Amino acid sequence: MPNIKLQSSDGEVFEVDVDIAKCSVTIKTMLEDLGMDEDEEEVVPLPNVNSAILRKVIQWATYHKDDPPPPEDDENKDKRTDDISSWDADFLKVDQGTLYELILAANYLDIKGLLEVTCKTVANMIKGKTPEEVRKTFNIKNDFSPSEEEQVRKENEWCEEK
Amino acid sequence: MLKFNSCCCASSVSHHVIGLTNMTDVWRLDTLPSDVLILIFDYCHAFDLVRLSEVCKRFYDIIREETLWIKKSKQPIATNQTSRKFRERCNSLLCLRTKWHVSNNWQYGKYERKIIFSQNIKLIPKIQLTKDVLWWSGGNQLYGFRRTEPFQANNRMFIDDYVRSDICKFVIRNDCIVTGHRDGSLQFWTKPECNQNINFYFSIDGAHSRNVNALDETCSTIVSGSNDGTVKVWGPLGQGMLNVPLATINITEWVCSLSIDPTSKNVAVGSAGEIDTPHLHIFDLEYYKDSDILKPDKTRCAGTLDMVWNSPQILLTCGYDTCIRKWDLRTGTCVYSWPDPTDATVYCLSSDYQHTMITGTKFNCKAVLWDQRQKNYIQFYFMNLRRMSSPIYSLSFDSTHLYGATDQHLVELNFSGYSYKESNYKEILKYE
Repeated sequence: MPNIKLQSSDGEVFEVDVDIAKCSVTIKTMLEDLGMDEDEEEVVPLPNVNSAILRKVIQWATYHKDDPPPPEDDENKDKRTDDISSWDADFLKVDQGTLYELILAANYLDIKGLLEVTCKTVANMIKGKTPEEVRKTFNIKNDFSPSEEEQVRKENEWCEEK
Repeated sequence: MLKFNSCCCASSVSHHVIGLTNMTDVWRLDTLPSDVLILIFDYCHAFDLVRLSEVCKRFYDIIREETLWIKKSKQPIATNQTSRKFRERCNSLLCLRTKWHVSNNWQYGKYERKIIFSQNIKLIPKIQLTKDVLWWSGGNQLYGFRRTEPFQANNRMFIDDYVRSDICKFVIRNDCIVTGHRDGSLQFWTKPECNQNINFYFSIDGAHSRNVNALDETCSTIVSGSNDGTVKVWGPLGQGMLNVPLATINITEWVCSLSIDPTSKNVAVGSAGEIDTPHLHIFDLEYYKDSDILKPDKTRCAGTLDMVWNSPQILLTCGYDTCIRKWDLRTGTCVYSWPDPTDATVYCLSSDYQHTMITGTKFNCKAVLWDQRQKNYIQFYFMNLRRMSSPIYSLSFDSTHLYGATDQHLVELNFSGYSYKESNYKEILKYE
């Protein structure tokens, strides 16, 4: 299997199987557009991803390299969030900062499967929580004035009992 | 509505290097770029979204945007305003987020009930809804209630003249009102612009020999159906020939309902179903011939009391067989049927020309909400708990309101607001 070299923002170079690297649509497009030959010793710079995150992304992509492509979204259905595999759940047992960095990296590298599973993980952390619980979980400051907060709550009263 | 405009800070954030080297400067959920937050929030249920909007100003702004509600309110019940014909009777057009919430109110039975009008005599009233006016006929009266907010029952239009025979059916045209009467006459009335009176225009006495139960119109014709067993087609207004019908079609039994299709090419006619002939016919309006398209099953399709064209090919009917039936003209058959949950005769039917249907039934002032995509009904509404013995004779709805006419009352259910008490009878009656 031919390999390709990926360079993180902090200068570390990772040698990765081309097929694994191509699960990133961004890298795939880059290789195709630039017409990079597989035996060339070129390094693909990824200035938006640091080495710790890139290592995680490569770990994820390696495990999932034989996955079938994810199905197209059914526009009419609410998206499921309860279908995260146990390997992914373990993989994503990280601090929130790392989780967001993985989301941003997956978004930048255009890796649909990783983006889905990371977003679902955050959505699950939000699920069923009151606004105050959300603030606590995510360390968010309440920047509403008391009167604004009152008005927003009034607008939202209709779904409170659910 | 509040607006905080704090989204704009997001774009500058997204240019940062994703991996942060400075450990004190860690990403937080509320500092993520807006496009990423939308990706995450897209996985949240609507109720979670609403609570998220209370967390901070930035979330509030993002969730207020239409983006996240597009999918969630794509094909909601009752609030789908994609049909132009349906929009023409909607008093207000709704934004996506409101669509979701109002649709939710319909499904869970959250509404405010109001009796718009009541009278002591028991009648068989009819209603018709337009964007600005709710029309009601009962006995020899015809009222037009203007749909102002708040609704004022005394702000109504009425017929000032003496009406000598009860109104069985009426249609509101662009230019005038047509009423069908018990004595077989068709009468025409001017539509009031700003004054309160509906004025007599002219009448065709003896249009039929008995009750005119069914009426419909296109811009060029009026079609009437009667207990005398005939359907008559009348020419355009203003022509001297009007009081002679263009055509008379013999049905041989009572005509209960009729409806002209959206292309004005065909008229569907439903009859009482007492004798052993088909009770549902499609006539073309060019040659006035039974087009023989439909093949109704005689044993199953008893008298058709009301009908709606959902599209030029799809006809919905209801009646004594206690079902809503969906007829597809392309196959000529009944392609689906929804039985009333209490096996009651279905008196009337209204549709949003998409997936939502509401029926009015013979007992308990009961209206039933249906989604054509689902086998079972969605919800039912008892429109008047103080007079449970009456049927709902006629009903209509727009995205936020349901109007039903019972023997003595005209009732409004309003689904548009917040914090209503839940009357989820589907849930309540499940355990009986």
